[in-house]
Amino acid sequence: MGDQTRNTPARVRRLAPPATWSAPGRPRASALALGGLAPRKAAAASGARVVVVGGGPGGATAAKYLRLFDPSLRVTLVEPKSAYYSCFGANWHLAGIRPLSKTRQTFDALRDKHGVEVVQDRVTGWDADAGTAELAGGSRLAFDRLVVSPGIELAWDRVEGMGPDDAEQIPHAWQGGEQYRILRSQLEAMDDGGLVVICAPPNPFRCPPGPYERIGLIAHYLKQQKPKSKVLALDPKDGFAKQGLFEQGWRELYGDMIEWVPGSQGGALYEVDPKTRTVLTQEGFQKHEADVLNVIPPQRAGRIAQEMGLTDASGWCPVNQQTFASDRQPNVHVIGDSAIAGAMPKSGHAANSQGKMVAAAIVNQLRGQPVPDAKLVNTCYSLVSPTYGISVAAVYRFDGGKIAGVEGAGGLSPSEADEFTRIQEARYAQGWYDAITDDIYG
Amino acid sequence: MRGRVGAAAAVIAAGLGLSAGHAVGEEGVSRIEVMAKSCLACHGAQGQGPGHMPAISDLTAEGIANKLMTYKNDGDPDATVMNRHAAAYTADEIEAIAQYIANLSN
Repeated sequence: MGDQTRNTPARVRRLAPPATWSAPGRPRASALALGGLAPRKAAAASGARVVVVGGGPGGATAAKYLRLFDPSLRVTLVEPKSAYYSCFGANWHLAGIRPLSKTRQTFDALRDKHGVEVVQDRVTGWDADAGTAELAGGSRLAFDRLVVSPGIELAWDRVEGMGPDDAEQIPHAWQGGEQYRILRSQLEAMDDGGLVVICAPPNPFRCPPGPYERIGLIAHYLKQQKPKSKVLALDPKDGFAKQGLFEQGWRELYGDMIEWVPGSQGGALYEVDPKTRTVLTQEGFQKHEADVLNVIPPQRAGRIAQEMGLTDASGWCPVNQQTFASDRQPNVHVIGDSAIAGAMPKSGHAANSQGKMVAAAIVNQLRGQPVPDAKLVNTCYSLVSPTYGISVAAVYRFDGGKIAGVEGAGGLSPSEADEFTRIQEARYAQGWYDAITDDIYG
Repeated sequence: MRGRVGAAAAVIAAGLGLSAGHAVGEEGVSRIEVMAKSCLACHGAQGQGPGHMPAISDLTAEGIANKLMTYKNDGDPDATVMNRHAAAYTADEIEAIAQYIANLSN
C-alpha cells in the first residue's frame, strides 16, 4: 500500500453519511467535499494507476489481467468483503452436492502472485475529474482509470410486502454465501410433503438460467430426501434461458414434482407476506402458501454504480460496448452485471470475458494504441441434476456500436443428446467452476 | 508476456519524462492475445485443465489448430461446447490462437 497516494486518517475527515458523490455533469462536487485537499498528482512515471471497484468475477479478472498485460501498472482492488462467495456453483449447494465453502474465493493470489493491491474497504466518494476515490476507512486512492464492477442491487422497492430485512426469513439467495446457507437450511428443515415456492425475477437479471437450475436442483434434493414434496415456480416471464432443455430435463427426472407458472398464466408476483410465507399472484386473487419461500427480486446495477451517476433510466450502466468506458463519467469503465453489454448476458463468464477486454482496452489506450477488436465469450453450464448437465455458449463481436453474437456460432446443447452427453456436460459444469475460478482468482 | 515491452519501456518513458503508460514504441495487447485468454476460463489459468476439463497446455500449435478446425468445419460429437465456440473464428484466427496457446508454458 506504500506507493498509493493516500492521506492519513488524521488529515481526512470522512464525509457525513451518506457520502457526497459527484453528480453527473458536476464532477468537481466531491473534490470540494474532500475538504480542499491537494489535487491529485500526475500519474507517477513508473506506471499508471488503476483502481478496480468490486472483487467479483468482473473486477477480479480486470485487476489480474491489467497486471498480466502490463506489469508496470499499479492496480488496486477495493472490495468490502474479505472473500468472495460466488453465486455460480452455489445452486449446487442447495442440492447438497457442494459445500458452501467451495464457493468461497480469496484474493490471496491476486495480491501475492499478481501484485494487485487488495484493499478491504468501500468506496464512498469520488472525483472522476481529479481522479480520486475516497474510501469509508478515510483513505483516498488516486487513479488514472477506474473500473467499476459492482454486480447487482436487489430492487426491494419493486417487491410488495417485503424488504431486505425479511431476507433471513425469505432468502433471495441471489448474492453468494450466507443467503445460500439460509435457503439450504430451510430446505433441510422442511417436512416431506412440503411446498417450495420460487419466485423468478423479471428481465434483465443476473444469471438468466440461474432460477431454473435452482428449480431442478431443489427438486433433485427433494426427490432424494422428501419425495412427496413439490416445487412451484412463479415467473413474471413467459420464457427463459435454455427453456426447452430445462423443461425436458425436469420431465425426465422429476415428473410432476415441478410446476412452472408463466406470467401470462398468473405467475407474476403481486405481494408477499413474509410472516406466513404466503405469495399472492393474479392481482391478489390467487394465494400460494409455501413451506420454503425463495423470492428473487428484480434487479438493477450495483449501488455504487447508481451513486456514482453511472446508470441511466433503466437502472443499468450505458457504456461504450468496445472499451466499456462509461457514457456518463470520464476515465471510468463499467463491466459485469451492471453494464449494458448488448447481447452478452449478466453472467460470471461474461464478466470474466469483459474483465480481460477492459484490461486490454485500458492498457492500449494508456499506450496510445488502438483498442483490440477481440471477440468475447460466454459459456454457461447448468445442472438439471448432478449427472445431467446442459449448456449454452456464445461468441460476441463489437459490431455497429454494439456487442452482437457471431452468427453461425454458439447455441445450446442438442435436445436429442444422449445420456452420456448429459453426464459429460455435468462433469464439465463442475470442471468449469474450477477452471474459471482459477482464471479469475488463481 | 510476449508481444509486450512492459517494464523496460516504462523505465525509458520515465527517463524521457513521459506520463505513465504512454511509453513510446510500446505495443498494445493484441486481439489474438485477448481471444486466446478466453480459452483459460474453461481450461484453467495455465491451460492445465482443472477437474474434468481437458488440458490444452501440452498440445502443439498444429494439434490445437487441427482440433479447432475440426470443431469448426465438421463438429465433433464428443466436443459439446467447443463445436459452438470454434465456429465463430476464422481459420487465421484459429491458427494464431493455437500458436499463442501452444506457447503458454514457454
